[in-house]
Amino acid sequence: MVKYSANLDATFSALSDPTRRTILTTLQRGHASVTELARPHDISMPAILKHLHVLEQAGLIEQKKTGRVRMCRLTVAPLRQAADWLSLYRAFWETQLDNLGRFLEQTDPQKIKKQENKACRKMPSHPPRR
Amino acid sequence: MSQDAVASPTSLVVSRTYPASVERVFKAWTDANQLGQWFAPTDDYTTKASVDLRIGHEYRIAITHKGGNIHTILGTYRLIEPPRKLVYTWRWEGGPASDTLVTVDFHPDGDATKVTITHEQFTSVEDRDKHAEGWNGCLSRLPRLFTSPA
Repeated sequence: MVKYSANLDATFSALSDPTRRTILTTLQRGHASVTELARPHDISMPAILKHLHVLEQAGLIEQKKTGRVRMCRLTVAPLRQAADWLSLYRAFWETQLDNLGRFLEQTDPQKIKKQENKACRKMPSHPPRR
Repeated sequence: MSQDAVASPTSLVVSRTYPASVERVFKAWTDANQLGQWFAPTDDYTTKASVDLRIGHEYRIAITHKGGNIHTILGTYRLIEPPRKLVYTWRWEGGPASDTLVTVDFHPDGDATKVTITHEQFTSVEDRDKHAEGWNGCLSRLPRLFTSPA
């Protein structure tokens, strides 16, 4: 469980950088070489390598050297954990917002007033049956 | 699935619009008595909240299942701008000392109010290192709040 948590921290930390997110988005389409991954970014090769290192440490990608080309590919499991966290909390907050809506409706001062008025007006024509 | 995680990786945003004044909605969120009346996952739970609405001070929300299990959320207020904005830390008691951050925006829209919740993970390495323990508290407790039997 602790390991799982540490992983999730590393995942979210790695994902907090826009360059690294772009790299992951590219890798969602399939394998890519480091040169291909660096192309859309206006930063130095050492900087890209550093980002790749962070992603690799977080277990989000794997790197493999074939001859002189270094290829990268996406590892899906950590992203799934991150998505699980997000979807759990999304469901949690959606539920709470539903509840808040009901509460606000039940405690709406104008509605309560209207209902009281209605009840008063109705009373003579519809006396409660016993 | 992974698309989502990449697109909005460290935070989630949920919003809703209510036909109520921003003051009413803000109060529902910050008055302990009112909070206790709506902040529960289902009718099988009762909620008791305590709120010390001052920056750096604590709130606690104890959610009790009819079977007796209690889940407590607690944290401290980081920003209070009545009736427009609230920022507070969030963690489950008994879980690892790992805070997340909740920002609630109350935006008036005519007679209505749009509420937007942003629930964030740590976005800086500093934060992450400060809270080296993880998320298992949240992860293990949340599902229990959605399944009834205690």
